[in-house]
Amino acid sequence: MSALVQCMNLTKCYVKGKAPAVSDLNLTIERGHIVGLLGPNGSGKTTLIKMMNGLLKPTDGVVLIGGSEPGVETKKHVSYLPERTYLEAQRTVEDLVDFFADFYEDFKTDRAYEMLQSLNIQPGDRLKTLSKGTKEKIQLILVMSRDADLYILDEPIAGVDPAARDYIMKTILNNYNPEASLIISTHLISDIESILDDVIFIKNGQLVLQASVDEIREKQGKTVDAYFREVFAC
Amino acid sequence: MLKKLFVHEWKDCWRLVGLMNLIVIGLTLIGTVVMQSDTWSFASENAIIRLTMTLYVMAYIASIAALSLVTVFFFYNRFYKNLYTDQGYLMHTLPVTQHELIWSKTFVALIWQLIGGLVMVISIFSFFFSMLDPADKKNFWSDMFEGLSEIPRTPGVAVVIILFVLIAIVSMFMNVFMGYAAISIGQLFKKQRLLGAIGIYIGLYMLLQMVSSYSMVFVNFISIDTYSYEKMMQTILTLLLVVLLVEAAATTAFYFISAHIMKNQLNLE
Repeated sequence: MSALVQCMNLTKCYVKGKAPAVSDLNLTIERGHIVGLLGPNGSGKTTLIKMMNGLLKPTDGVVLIGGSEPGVETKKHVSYLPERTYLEAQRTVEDLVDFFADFYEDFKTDRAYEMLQSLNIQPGDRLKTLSKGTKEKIQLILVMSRDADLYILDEPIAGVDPAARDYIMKTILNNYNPEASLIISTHLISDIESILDDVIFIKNGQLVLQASVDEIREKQGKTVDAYFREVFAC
Repeated sequence: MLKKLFVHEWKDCWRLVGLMNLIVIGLTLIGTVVMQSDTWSFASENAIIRLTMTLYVMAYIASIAALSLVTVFFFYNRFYKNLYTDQGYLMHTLPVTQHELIWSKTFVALIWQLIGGLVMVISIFSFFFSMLDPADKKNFWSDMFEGLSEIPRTPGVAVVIILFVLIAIVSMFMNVFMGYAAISIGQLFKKQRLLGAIGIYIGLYMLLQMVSSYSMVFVNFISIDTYSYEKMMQTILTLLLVVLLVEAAATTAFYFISAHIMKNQLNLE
C-alpha cells in the first residue's frame, strides 16, 4: 500500500504567540481506505483539511498528497466538499455540471445527471431557487461524480435531516472510486461509523489516535462513537 | 485552463454589464432622434414635453454614471466574492494557478471597461454631433481628418500621443490591479475584511497620487519654459515617460501583491 496523504510535523498557527490550530501533526493515510477525521469543535479538523487542499499554507512541516505538496497537480486528483455552500447562486445546475466537467478531467457528466435526475433536480433549475438542503445535495453530487484519488468531505451530514443523511451516505458509498481514499470529517460519528475503515482522533490540533475501526472494537470493546465520547469527555 | 476560466467568467458577468451598456445605447438612440425633432425641446411651451425632456436628461446622466461605476466596482465585487468568500472554496481548489485566476478576471473586466468606455464616448459624441448645424455636420468629418493629418507633421506630437495611449493602457491595468491588491490585502484582516479593503484602496490611491506629484516635481514641470517649444516638448515627454514608468511599476507591484497573498496567505473565512 502506498501513502496517499502524509503529514509530517504539520503545524498551522493563525496568530503568532497563540496556540496553533494544528500542532506538529504526523499521520499517513493509505489508498483504498474510508477514514473518519473525528474531533470536537475547534480541534483543527477543518484547518487540516484546508492545508490538504492548498487553501492554507502550513506554518511549519509539510503535507503531501500522492507525494506532492498541494498545488495544481494534486488538485486534479482531490475532490473536496467544504462545509459551506460554495456554488454561485446565479448559476443553473447545468452551468455547474459544465463547470466541473470543464475543469476536472475525471468528472463523469452522465453520473452527475443520473444522480440529479433521481432527486428530480432539473438541469435548468437556478441554484438560488433551490432549498439549502437541495443545494448541499447538488454540491455532494458534483464532488462524488469525480473519479478522484482522494475525496475529502468536511461535515457532509451536518445540519441535514436524517432522511437527507441517508441519501448523502448512500451517494458517497455508491459513487466513490474504490481505489481511492475518502476522508470524512464529522462529529456525528454514529451516522457514519458503519462505513469507516479507519479513524483519526484529533484534539487541540494534535493527533490523539489513528487506528482501524476493527482495532478499536477489539481492543476497547466499544463502538467508535462510545470510545470517542470517552476520549473527549469534558 | 485560462481560456476555460475566461469563458466561465464571461458567462457569469455579461448580463449586468451588458444590460447597463444596452440602456446607455438605447437612451442615446432615443436622445439623438429627439434632438432632430422641433417638437421635443426644452424651449417647448408644453410643460409635459419640458418635464419629459428633463426626466430623459436625468435618466441619461444617471445611466452614464451607473455604467462607469458598474464597470469598475462590479468587477471588484466579483473578484472579492468569487475568490475571497465562500465561492473561493471552489475557485481555489480548481487545478489552476493563481495567475490564471487573476488574469481571467482581469481580461473580462478590461474588455467590459473598453466596451463601456467606447459606448460612453460614442454616446456623448452622438449627442454633440446631433446638436451641430447641418452645415457644420457636412464639414465635420473632413475637418477632423484634416486636423488628424497635421499630427505627424508637428514635431514631437506623435510621440506624445503614443505615450498617452500607452499610459491609458497601463492605467486601465493599474486601476484593476489596484482594486485587486486592496481586496487581497483586506482579506488578511481578521474582521471587517471588506471595510479593510476599502481603506487600503483609499490608502493606495493617495500613495499613488503622492508619487505622481513627486514625479512632477522631479522633472521640474513647474518651472516649464513655455516660451521655448522644444524645451516644453522635452519636458512633457520626460513627464509622460516618468508617469508611464511609475504606473507600470505600480501595476506590477499591485499584481504581485494579489498573486502572493493568494498563493501564500490565503485564509478563507
